Parts: sequence; structure tokens; C-alpha cells
Amino acid sequence: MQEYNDHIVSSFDDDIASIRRSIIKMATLVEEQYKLLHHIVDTGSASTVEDVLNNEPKLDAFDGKIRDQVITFITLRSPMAIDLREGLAALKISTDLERLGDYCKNVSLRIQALEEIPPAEIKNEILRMIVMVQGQLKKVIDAYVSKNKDKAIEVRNADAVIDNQYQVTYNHIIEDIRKNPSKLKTLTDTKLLFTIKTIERAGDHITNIAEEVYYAIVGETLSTPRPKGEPE
Amino acid sequence: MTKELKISAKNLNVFYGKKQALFDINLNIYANEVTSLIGPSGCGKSTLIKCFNRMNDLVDICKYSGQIMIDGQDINHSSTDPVSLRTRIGMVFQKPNPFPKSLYDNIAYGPRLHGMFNTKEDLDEIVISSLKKAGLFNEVKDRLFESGTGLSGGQQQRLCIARALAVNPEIILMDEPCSALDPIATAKIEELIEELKEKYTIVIVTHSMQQAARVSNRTAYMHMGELIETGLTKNIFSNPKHAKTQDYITGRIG
Ligand SMILES: Nc1ncnc2c1ncn2[C@@H]1O[C@H](COP(=O)(O)OP(=O)(O)OP(=O)(O)O)[C@@H](O)[C@H]1O
Ligand SMILES: [Mg+2]
Repeated sequence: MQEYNDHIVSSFDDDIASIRRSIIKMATLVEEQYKLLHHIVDTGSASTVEDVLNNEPKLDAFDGKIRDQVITFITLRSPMAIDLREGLAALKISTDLERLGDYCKNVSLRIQALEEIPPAEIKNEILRMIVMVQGQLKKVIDAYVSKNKDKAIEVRNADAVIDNQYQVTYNHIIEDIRKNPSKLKTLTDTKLLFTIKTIERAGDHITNIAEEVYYAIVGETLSTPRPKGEPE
Repeated sequence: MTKELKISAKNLNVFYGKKQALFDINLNIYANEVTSLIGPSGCGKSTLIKCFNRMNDLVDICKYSGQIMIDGQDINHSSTDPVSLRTRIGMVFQKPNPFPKSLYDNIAYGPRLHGMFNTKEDLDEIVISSLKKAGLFNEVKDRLFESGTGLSGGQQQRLCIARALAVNPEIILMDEPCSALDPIATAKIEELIEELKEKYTIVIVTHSMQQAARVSNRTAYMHMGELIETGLTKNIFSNPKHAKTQDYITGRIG
């Protein structure tokens, strides 16, 4: 946990606190979206898809608001060092959160448009991937809130688990197509392939956030290469 | 490319009477670079740059230990003549301080004092080229024989820079040269600093973090008479290593 002294001008601290609050609110809404997504995959609930769609514009609004807050902060405060990194990190994190929201919407719509109910085993694996994304998301928000660089590194390293699950599920879906190559099954399974790819990409955006959090705290890029899952 | 060392302070301690103003300063200043000294009021910035041209010799109670080397020579060694040392080092102060004389005489003062010319034409040439180097010639060419004190603050400061350049120095020390100037006059001085560093070694004391960031290659942060951190300006302002530097440049309670 990194601690800094307060600014002599206390409204400077207020500005930073308010940017951080916006990020946390936005991240909380993204968490909510993934909770809804889990429910959608689990039950196929159409009304929950509606909820996801209704939340989506709020995320765009947060993204715009955070950009304005950061521009104002930089213009009026001329922040240096840790403070400038804090502002820039907020900009990039909100972009990643916005993208995470997009992915959630895309997957929801794709699930709603499935031709057939997915095989139970595959459905459970997709649910597992969503739970992993939720866990990573929660952890990266914790890292941001507590300015904990070690937690940020943990999140980044844990992304490989999502990659690995993606590989496993990918193979299961291909197997399912092979086993039972009906037209409807193939259509369904193709959509599921896109679904898991999107969820895997969501993991990458959480990794981006972890790297931003690390950079904001330390001022250096995490230099070791990202751990990767098994190749396809 | 390895940088040429121009000034180097070694284990420098400075006292005003019993009060110690600088503590064991070790600092390298490189040729053709701009080095900025930053730090809170009273931390010893002016004291340090005044050591570089032995202006502290003029203060009776000021005593020092350690060394200041310029081009590898100890400037406090008995063989160094402080007057000729000062022709190698120009100084520009916070408040523009033109002499109550004509622009021409302000600039001719140093060359006359040091007998740096043979003919009247030579002196004219020195005056004009100094004004040009200081970016002031076009603004004042029709009033060279009017009083220097009639210029605007920014013009007065450039006049003082021209005066410093007239003795053909190697080093220019500037102690808060823009603190009394508006943003336009400040920008002109900063542009001038950028040009001058091709020929000269420049040390600037400034209270403006943005100014230090804009004009200098290296920055040294001082705190209560100690040199806390020095490094490339871009590193000092983007990611200082020392908590005291961080507190100062980000405006935190130290
Ligand atoms: N002539 C003097 N006699 C006694 N003490 C002095 C003298 N000049 C400076 N000092 C003391 O030495 C310390 C350093 O002063 P200095 O003027 O070098 O600080 P500074 O960093 O230039 O401050 P500022 O940013 O306010 O110009 C201060 O405590 C000051 O009071
Ligand atoms: Mg001073």
C-alpha cells in the first residue's frame, strides 16, 4: 500500500478523489453487468438482457464524464509525477471499462440469439469463465482502491487462467461440432466460440487496467512479458 | 555522447557565521546544458550559485569548505583571480538591475572594465551583437542612447542578459530571472535560454516547476541546505525517486 502526503491546496486532493470516485462507480457498474451476464447465460432471461442494454449508455456517460474531469484536472492543476499519472491512468482505465461493458452487451445479445440451448458442460464452462472475469475485475478494483501494486501484479499474472479455460472450452466446442454436425448445432456452437473469445478478451482488458494501476503507482511499466495461456 | 563536465561542487559546505547554509553538496553541471536548481525558499539555491562565481567572497561572514571546480580547476585556489573568473561567468538576477545609464553604456560596462576591445568600432560591435544574442536589438536599435531603466521589465531583463553576454562568458547563472515577468516576456527569455545553451553553460534558479521542466536538461532539488536529488529533468518531474522531491513538485505537505 502506497501512501502520500496531502496536497497543500486541499481542493487538489478533492479533484483526485472525485476522479477516483467516478472510476470506482463505473467499475462497480461493469461488475453489475457481468453479474447480469452470468444470469443471462445461466437462465436465458430476456428481461436481464434488457437490463444490460439499459445500463450500457450509463457506462458511455461515465467514460465521457471521466475524460472531462481529467482534462479539467490537468488544465487547472498542472499535475506532476504521481498526480499526472493518476489522471492519465483514469483516462485509460475508463476506456478499458467502457470496452468491458461493450463486451458484456455483445455476449448478452449473442446468447439471446442462440439457435439451441448449449450443452450443459459447455454452458458451465462459460459460466466459469464469467466467474473468473468477475473475480479478476473485483481484484483489480481492489488494487486500484488500495493503490496496491502487488495486487495489480497478481491480477496480471492470473489472466493466464482465463486463457487456459478459453483453450479448454474452445476444444470442447469444436468437439461438439464434430460429434454432431447438424446445421443448428454448428450455428449455435459458432456463436459460442465468439462468446468465449469475447470473454477471453475481457480478461485482457482487465490486465490492461492492472498494468495501468501499476504504472500509476510505480511510474514504470511492468516490464516482464504477460504470462500467456497454452497456445491454440 | 559523453557530456563535458563544466562545473563541479565537491563536498561543499557553506556557513553564514554560525549558521550552515549548505551541507556537503556534490553536484555536476555539464557544458551546453541548462541545469535548474529548485527547492523551497531558503534551501540554499542562491547561496549555491553564488559560490560558482565567488560572489559570496563579498559577504564577510560567509565561510566555506570543499571545492568548486570549473573546467577541472579549483576556483578558490590562490592562483585563481576572482575578477577574471567573473568574466567567464555572467550573472542575471531576479529583479532586472540595469545601471541608470544608456542601453549602450549598460552593455559596454563590462568590456570597458576588462579592456576587452581596441577601437570604438570593436565596442559598437560587441554592444550590437550582445543585444542581438539577447533578442533585444530590433526592439531598441533606435534608442541605444536612452536610459536602460526606461525599458519594460522583460526588456530590462534581456538587457541584463545582453550585459552578461558582452564579456563573452562561458557560464551564465540566472537567479529567478523571470519571477517579475509576464508570460510573454517569460516565454521570450525561455526561448533565449534555449538558444544560448548551444554556446554557454546555463544554471537557472526558478520557483516555477513548469519553467524548470520547460527549459532545463537537468534538475537538482534542494531542501534545507542539502541536495536531495538530481537527474534528467524529465525523470525528476515524471517520477522522482525521493519522497521529498515528490512532495515538493506535486505541491504536497512535506
Ligand atoms: N548574507 C547572508 N547572511 C546570513 N544568512 C544568509 C545570507 N544569505 C543567505 N543566508 C541564509 O542562508 C540560507 C539559504 O539562503 P538562500 O538565499 O541561498 O536561499 P534560496 O534557496 O535562494 O531562497 P529563495 O528561494 O527564497 O531565494 C537561508 O537560511 C538564508 O537565511
Ligand atoms: Mg534565492
